[in-house]
Amino acid sequence: MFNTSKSIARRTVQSSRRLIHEVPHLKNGKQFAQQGIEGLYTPQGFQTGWTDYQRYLTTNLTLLTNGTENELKTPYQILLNTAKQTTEQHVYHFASQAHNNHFYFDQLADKSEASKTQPSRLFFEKLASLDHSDLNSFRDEFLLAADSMFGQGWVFLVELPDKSLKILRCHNDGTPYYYGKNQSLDLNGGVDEGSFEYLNNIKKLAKNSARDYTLPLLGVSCWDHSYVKDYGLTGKADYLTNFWDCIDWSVINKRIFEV
Amino acid sequence: MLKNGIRIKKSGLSLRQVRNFSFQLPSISTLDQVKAANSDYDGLFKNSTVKQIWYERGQHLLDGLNQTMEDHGLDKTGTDLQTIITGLISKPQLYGVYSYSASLYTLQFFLESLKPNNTSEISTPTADTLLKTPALNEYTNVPTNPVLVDWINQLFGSIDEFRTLLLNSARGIKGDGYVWLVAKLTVSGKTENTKYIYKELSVTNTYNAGVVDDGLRSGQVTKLKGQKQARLDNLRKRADELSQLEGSSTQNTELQAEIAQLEDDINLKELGTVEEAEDITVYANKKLVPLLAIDASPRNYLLDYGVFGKNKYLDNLWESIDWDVVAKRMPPRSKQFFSID
Repeated sequence: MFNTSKSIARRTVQSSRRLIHEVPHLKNGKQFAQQGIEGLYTPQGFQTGWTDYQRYLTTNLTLLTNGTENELKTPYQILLNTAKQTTEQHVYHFASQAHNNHFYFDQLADKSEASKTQPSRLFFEKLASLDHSDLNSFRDEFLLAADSMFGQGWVFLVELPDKSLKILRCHNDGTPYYYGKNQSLDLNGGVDEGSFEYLNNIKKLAKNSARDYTLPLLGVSCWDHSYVKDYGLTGKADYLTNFWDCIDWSVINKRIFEV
Repeated sequence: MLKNGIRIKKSGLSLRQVRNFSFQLPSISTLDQVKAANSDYDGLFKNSTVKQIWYERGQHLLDGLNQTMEDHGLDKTGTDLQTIITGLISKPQLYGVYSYSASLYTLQFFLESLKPNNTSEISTPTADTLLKTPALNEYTNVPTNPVLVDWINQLFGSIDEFRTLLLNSARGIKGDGYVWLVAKLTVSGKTENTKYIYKELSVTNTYNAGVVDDGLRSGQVTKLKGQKQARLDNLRKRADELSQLEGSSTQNTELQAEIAQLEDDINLKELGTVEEAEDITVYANKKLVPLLAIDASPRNYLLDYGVFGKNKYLDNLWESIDWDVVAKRMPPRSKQFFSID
């Protein structure tokens, strides 16, 4: 009798747990906030791209998920949970952005630190599946995909279920985890033939019930928040060049094993 | 379809001629004054931001446009942005040229809808503003043209409601995009007495390099499918000819494989197709005439208003709308008449 009421009490306490979303802790976060990221961001640039923008995203996420089934979930779980729900897209936006922005900042380091790391042999073996024999030609293709994108978005290097790699563009708040929300195409203005072929290919994949287990290894933000403060409205190309020099490859190498 | 002679020229001679001419950054008087006086764009942008938004980014888009047009060997003489947009949106291979010209055109249209104002202030809100209760409608800038006011009141209820709709649409845009006030044109009647009727105003969004006129946009995917169908027909014809030539027993396997591939592509019917979706929303007898555009993209507020400043920016933007310009763009309104026989 006593036991039962105790367990009920415990359950009640558990089910009334509350959670608010906070700006996650970065490995060198304190140092970045004071000195910026050497070779990429000034302290102000870091503040806009990470501290302020992440606070904007997580605060909005808290306000929107408060008292709902998503309250106790991480941004990653929320984005998966809401991606397919047409009436939850306002929540999805903040969850997906919060996750992507964290994913992006998590892999950055000071230039001097980053230059001491390099991609693992496993990474190079995988690069071969993209027809790149060396890192430089892959770099050029990856950064070009980011630079030539109109509007806001993300570019990811993802691993597919067959363990091959692919460069994936996500417009706006697109996510690499679910291809219904990859948002790889921009059909707002002119439609080019590549987009049309891409649409056809998606239809084929759906018809053949293709499995979608895509996981990102490397990502770069093409949102204005990530560069206009330091590089100006026309500084995207410079920003991308600097970004490449500040990748902490040890993080990327670890992600391959997590996959 | 192509007016004023945008043509793809292939000979080396015309290419060299093309290089001599390139588009210049259009002059916008309000911005030129700000630049000349080295002052702020009162109530909306700081001086440095004006430089970035128009003189740097505008130039960047223009360079992209000139470059891509040159790469494709397009003749620029005697054309303007509007003509390029209309002519090129349905040319898939010229996607880049279209995107640059559409971005530049909308940016110019937006900046020309504005004037500096003395009522609002540029400030950088902090994270706390996210938790504040939004203020009631507080604004001073309202249209004065009686026809425009009457039209807005009738279609949206009141200026208050119109402002709320316009700014909320802008808040809903998370990436790059514009909110437009448009007049809907309906064309009716046969060719000899065509009637152009503007009955309704409407608020609509475009994203990235989108253009406001849906009539231009629609039918692109259908057209691409048509091209594929034409290629399939050609291949079938060639296969027929070949088999007649070489006797019916031999078949070109490569050709057959390609035909099978194309048939497969075209006959995917399990899901509704994008072509069908396009047909449903086709805009054949309608046209949207833009009166006002406001830019909700982050680049416009990040520099002066910061990450938390979108609402403040939009409030200031409303104060800076030049209603005289909007009234000038307004087409003659056709009121609805009911006749009783």
